Amino acid sequence: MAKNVSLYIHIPFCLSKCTYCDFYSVPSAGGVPDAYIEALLCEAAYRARVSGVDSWRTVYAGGGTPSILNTPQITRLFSGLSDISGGTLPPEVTVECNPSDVTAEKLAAFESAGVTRLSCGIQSFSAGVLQGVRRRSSAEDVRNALACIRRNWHGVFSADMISGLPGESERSFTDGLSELLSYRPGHVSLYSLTVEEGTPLGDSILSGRMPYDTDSADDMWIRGRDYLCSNGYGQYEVSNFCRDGTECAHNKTYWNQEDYLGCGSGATGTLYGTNGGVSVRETNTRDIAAYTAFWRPGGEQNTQIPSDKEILQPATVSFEFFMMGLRTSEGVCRETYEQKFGMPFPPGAERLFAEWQRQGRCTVREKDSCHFYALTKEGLLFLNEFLGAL
Amino acid sequence: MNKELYKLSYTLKKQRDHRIVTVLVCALIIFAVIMIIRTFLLFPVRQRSVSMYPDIPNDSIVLFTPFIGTPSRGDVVLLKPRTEEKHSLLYRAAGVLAGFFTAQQFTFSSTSGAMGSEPQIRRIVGLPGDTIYMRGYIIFVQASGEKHFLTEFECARRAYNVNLLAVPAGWDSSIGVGGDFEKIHLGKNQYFVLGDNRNSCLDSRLWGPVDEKDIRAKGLGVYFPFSKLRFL
Repeated sequence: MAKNVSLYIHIPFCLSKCTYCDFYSVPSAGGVPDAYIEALLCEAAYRARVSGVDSWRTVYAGGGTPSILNTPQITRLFSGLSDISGGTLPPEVTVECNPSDVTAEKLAAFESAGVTRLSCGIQSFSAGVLQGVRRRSSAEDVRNALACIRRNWHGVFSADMISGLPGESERSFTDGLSELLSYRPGHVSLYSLTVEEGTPLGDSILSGRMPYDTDSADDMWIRGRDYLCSNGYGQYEVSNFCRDGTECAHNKTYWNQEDYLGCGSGATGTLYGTNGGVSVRETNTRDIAAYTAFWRPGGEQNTQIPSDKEILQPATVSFEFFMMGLRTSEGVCRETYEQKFGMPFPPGAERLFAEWQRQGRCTVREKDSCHFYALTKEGLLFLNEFLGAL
Repeated sequence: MNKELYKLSYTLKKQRDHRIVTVLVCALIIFAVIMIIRTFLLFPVRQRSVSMYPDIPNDSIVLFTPFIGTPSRGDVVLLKPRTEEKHSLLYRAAGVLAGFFTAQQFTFSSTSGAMGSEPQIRRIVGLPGDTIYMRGYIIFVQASGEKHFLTEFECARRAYNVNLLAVPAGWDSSIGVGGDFEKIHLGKNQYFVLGDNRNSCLDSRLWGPVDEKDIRAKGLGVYFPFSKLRFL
């Protein structure tokens, strides 16, 4: 049966590591080994075949830093992915990009390879802030990259910003957002700094060596949200804003609990069971050498794929349905729930929605005979409280 | 008065006899048609255990068809009894009639009560040519011609749910119905069948693989209770 699913590609290599980042990546001054690209393609071909996938719905290359791929690797990776899906790539192919890697040549290489969406981690416009978290990009790099993208990039451009980085003031953050919007990105992801245990920054803050005010970071984020909304960017998810309907189709795959394959060392994919069936989530090994050796084309392949498989029972997936769906402005759909889980919409959730609706934190609307429950802009600030009460 | 009329009128008597015969013939035809459908097309089976919980709970009724074709991974099947009991034709006919007129609420079950003396509903998780092993009550399958092992859920044609209760820490998972076994290879016509209630079910873990000829019918759907209505 023809199947159309999203694909996440993980490039776990960075030239240097930012202190706040907890995504899996390793420092690699020499760039990405060619053997890793070949292993990725081999894995993608296998997973597409056994899952009955004949075309990609979306492709997203994240990391790490996918923009450190050189031009032949970019061409090889995306032509290989195109071959797997019958010679075509989907309308949305995203690559995450570090501002320091942005050049006219690289952007041209992305475009000619079929990339249609560039997601650039700007994070801040303050030189001291970027330096403080050991971002590879300086403030000058950021401005040069934005100017280069404006001149040379014809696809969708998305920029990431983080509120509450150490050293960032409300003023510098708002000025940075204002400067970012002067480059007219179609999409902005606005995150509040998450202090992650195990990262250098997280350890400094959690041990008390570095003073940090979480409330101030949240206030900054709310100001940023209001600024984006007042400038024509609609909030379609907790942290994502866009204008002209340039929502990220790939991320919607996650929020809508649709199947996606994950390829690359450390990547995760999930195949959802229908009608209340079991789902399977698989996370590849973080051992890049073991990954590359296993998936090298024509290699001596062991029968055991180096990955961890997690069996998700309907109760877990049902909770995630609310957790992910309520992040979006569209919310969760009662009929989709009933179809997905083969059981009635939980009465407890119904009661909670009614209660939150009375408090103005939730809306209930009907569209095409479907009932949607969504948290309001203010309700989204209390998403965790809602999930706790569910 | 009426009885007198029937005695006097040959025509009335003939009409009455004709009506009785018509009703009896119609009933017989209906019964025969239903029995033909039940034998060759579709028949209901009442699930009398929790072995297929949660998709097929205790006391639900499943519709089966004897048209099996080639069984697929994930199919729910009705297996012949492991130990066949011999019953008289009259006993079997009475059982069919009882099930028919009570919508399967009452049927004649095993007289000996021996385990495996009734048909069993189970799910196919391994096909001929597969190499399989079990970890934590989940089957991992290396299908014929494939290099790698996948979970049963990734290989099955249709999604299904299983009941997996985490055993207490330190519990030996081989006690009771085991949750782990090492690789086995399924030969020609061999199918590995399991109950969905993995912690509490007798199945191929105990019996070993079943032969294709042991599969009597294929499950189409649960139709009772209505709240559990679903295709299988």
